[in-house]
Amino acid sequence: MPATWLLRFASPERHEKDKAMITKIKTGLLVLALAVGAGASAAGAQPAPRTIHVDIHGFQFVPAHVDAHVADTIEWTNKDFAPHTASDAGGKWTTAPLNNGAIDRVVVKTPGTFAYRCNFHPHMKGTIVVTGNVAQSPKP
Amino acid sequence: MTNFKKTLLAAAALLAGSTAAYAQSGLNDLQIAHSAYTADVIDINYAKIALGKTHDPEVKRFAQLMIQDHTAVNEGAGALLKKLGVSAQDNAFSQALNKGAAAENAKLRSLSGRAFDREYARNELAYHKQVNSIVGDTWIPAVQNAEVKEFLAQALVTFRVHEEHAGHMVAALR
Repeated sequence: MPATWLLRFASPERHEKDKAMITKIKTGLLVLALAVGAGASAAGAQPAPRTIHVDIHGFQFVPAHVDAHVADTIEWTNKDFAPHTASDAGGKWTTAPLNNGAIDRVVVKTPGTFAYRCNFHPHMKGTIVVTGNVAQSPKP
Repeated sequence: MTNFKKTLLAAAALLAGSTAAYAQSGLNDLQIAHSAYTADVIDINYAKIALGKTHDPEVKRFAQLMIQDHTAVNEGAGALLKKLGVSAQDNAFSQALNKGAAAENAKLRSLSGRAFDREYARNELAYHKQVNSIVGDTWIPAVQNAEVKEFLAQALVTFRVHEEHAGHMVAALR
């Protein structure tokens, strides 16, 4: 069973520790506790969860915009030499620092539009648009 | 003219602060790899000086980023050379880079406070601009091995981001 890792803001002070952690979580799932929506509507038929791949290449998220459904997994792979993150600009969630070739994942659980960036190179920006009903267990 | 003579000429031009003769560098792939590695190490060392001197959080953050990114690029270079089963070759150009860096290191060590921050930022912008020009205009077109060429292209993307970042830092410290 993959490990579940609580979200936290990767401050520069934590970076070295985070780098050491990265190998432990390469295969782990990050559970993304995004802002809780207006409330769950009656559960309808949900499409099967899927994994959406985002490459980090040339200091860009590719694709920079993804459309996801509640319970989908977003998977980032860093193909740059420079380490990157995919992180909420407000510090609510982040992947681990991703070295070259490293992968991290987030399961989206709440509908909405979520802008993110690389904490190390903040000009790198991406957006996740999540549709569907709030997952039954919105917290990690 | 031999490649070695061309290299010496380019090194002399670098010491004189000119980029005009870079296109004549005449370095082979392994010498270019060594020079790129050297350029990375030089910037890491500038950053280490900065971390010991600056009190500006933005300058500190930039210096940490330089250590992180340039170390990662050099790890990539090392992995590629290992995969190719070759070793980088020291050369006159790398040595000229180191001589130039020694002078700048001495200058940085002599400064403190805002004067240090401004000189560090100025040099980071100038250094990245200079190295990026060499990598983009001379080394990438000259390199024969496709994987080394691809490596340099990716490194150049990193260094151009740094150049832009350094430009912002210079402006913020005025």
